Amino acid sequence: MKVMPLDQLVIVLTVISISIGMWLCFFLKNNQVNQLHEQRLLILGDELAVNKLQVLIRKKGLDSYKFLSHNLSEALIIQPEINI
Amino acid sequence: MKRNNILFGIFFTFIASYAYSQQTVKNIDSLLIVLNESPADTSKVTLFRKIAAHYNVVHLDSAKGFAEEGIVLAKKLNYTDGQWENLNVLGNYYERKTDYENALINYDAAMELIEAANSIKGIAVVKNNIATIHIRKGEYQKAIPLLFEALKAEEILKNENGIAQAYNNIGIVYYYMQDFDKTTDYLTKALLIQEGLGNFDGLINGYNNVGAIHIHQEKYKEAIKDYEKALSISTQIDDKINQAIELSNIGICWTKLRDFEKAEKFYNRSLALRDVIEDTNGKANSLVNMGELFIEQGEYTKAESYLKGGLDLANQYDLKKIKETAFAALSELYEGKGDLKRSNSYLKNFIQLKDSILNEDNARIIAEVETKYESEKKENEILRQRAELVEKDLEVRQKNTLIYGAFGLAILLGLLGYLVYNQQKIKNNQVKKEGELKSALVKIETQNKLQEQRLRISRDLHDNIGSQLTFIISSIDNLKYGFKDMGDKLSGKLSGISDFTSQTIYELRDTIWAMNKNNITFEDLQARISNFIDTAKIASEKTRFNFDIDSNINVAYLFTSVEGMNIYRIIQEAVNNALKYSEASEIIVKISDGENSFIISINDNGKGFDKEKIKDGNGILNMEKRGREIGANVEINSLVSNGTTVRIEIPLKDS
Repeated sequence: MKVMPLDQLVIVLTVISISIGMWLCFFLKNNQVNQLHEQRLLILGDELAVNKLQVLIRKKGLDSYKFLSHNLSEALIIQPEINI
Repeated sequence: MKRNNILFGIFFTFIASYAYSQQTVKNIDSLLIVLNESPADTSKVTLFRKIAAHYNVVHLDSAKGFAEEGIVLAKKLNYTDGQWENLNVLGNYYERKTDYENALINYDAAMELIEAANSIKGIAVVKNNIATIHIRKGEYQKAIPLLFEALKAEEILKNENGIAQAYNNIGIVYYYMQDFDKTTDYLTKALLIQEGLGNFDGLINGYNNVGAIHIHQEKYKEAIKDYEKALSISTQIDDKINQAIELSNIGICWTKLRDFEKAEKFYNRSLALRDVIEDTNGKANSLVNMGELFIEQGEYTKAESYLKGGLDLANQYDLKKIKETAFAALSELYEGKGDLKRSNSYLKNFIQLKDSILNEDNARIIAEVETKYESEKKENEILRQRAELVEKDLEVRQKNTLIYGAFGLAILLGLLGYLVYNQQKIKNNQVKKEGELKSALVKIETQNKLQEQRLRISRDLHDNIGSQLTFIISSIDNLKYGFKDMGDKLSGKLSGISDFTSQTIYELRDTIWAMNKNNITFEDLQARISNFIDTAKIASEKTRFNFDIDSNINVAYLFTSVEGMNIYRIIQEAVNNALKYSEASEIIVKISDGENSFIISINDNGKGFDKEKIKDGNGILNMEKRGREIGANVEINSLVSNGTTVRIEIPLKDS
């Protein structure tokens, strides 16, 4: 079996090492990016949930309007936390 | 005795570097002027050498002084190359003068300087010149190692002309050693190179020596052609020594062709020229040739005179080869004259001299030197090939390393590109996702804010206007209470206003609600209608209520809030009217699926009324107005004692 010359072996090992190093760097960076993304998604999700809840409260209030008793004061629920 | 005619005094031309060579200059006068004006530096040393070399060819006596001055100046300047070059030219001078002893002294002095400076060029030049001295003296065993050393040096210098000169001289030595195959081999090699180079001096020597081979092969006419070629070139460059050689050799050819008149003419021309240039060696040779010519013609007296003249010169300068020829010729002459004693004596001398030149030791030494040279050459070739193989192997290895490196770099770049692309893709997807979420958030926030704002405005509207309307009702009630004595008409009017105002408040509330609630499902509406009917049941226990919904109806159908409200109010009005006026025992509310419409019918089995006679009251007008508002068709059909049907047809919206 022919042994690879030293300089070529060095090149192969260097390429493998650099490849592994590069892959590791990108893996860690991608993880970091994903984590930040997840955090931002969470924040956006929370904000969406808050808005959806406010819409739900409003809808519920409006749905509670009785056609016979005309209880509009109960149906119109003002949500002061909504900053117009 | 017939002697061996092979050695007929053919004069080979040896090539002594820087002497019998192309060192004549075209404009010697200019060169002399430059010499006088130039400072005492190394260039002046070179000028001395060039001028001396020129005069060695064209005017021998003038050469010595210039060469000696060149040596002195070079010594003063410590210019080693200049010293040995001028010593070499001085050696050439003495050689041409046939003063071989002084020639050798100068060549040896040059060799000392050359060896100290390790000059390959010097070795090539001077060893060749020393070798020619030995050749002339018949000392071939001394000449041949020097010639091979000179050849080696010329090969190192890659000097084609020098290599040709060495081949030429080696060929001559082999000729004298009677190895004619090797002679032809080396002389042919030399001539080929010279023809390739177009070198005058080399061509002269080449043609001269090939001519000698042709003489040996008894091809005299070809030999004459060769010598004529050489003569034309040597005449062109005014090389008198070579001219004399060619003339002499042509004479030999004519002698062999038995044209003695022509032969004598050429010998005389050669002899005259040799007298002019003081070529003692050549002169001795010419004298012997003339002697041989007259032997052929049977003119022994004349022959003896020439032969003895030539022998004297040969003895004086120890020219062994010429002596050998002279001895042979004299032996033949005395044999012809019948003087056998003298003939034998000269024959003995000839044999002794020939043996001393041709002895086996000499031949062995020469063969050994050549073998050693060839072996060294082969070894060098093998080493060179090995070095080339190693170099090639290294080149291949370097190429492979380069390929590996390039491939590795390509892999790394490819991987980097992929990783960057992948990362970018992930980021793009994330940005897209976040963008979508943000967009949805902005939309919902905007809607939320708009709806909230609308709600707050509605609330304010209800609170302000509603309270004002309530105030009106309360004020009217107070008026009615305060003025108990007012007439029925006024009281009725005030009640009407109060009712109208109440109605207005209800409608305001419904409108505000519908403004804020976009849609209401059929299912939700159904539930509200059902609640209303349950309330009506409680309020009117005697009346039976039925509420039917067609099973085909899509309960998820969306009405606008205005539509839902108006449908409810129409049903409410119709049911209230039936309860109030019809005295019905059964009221059926039915919702069915029409062709692209909903059909709602409120049917009672009450007493009915004559539509012609009864004016449409507010209730009926309200129902019709509400129907128009939502694009529905409201029909009220009643027959006396046959009940009343309120039919509402609401067209479906395109989904």
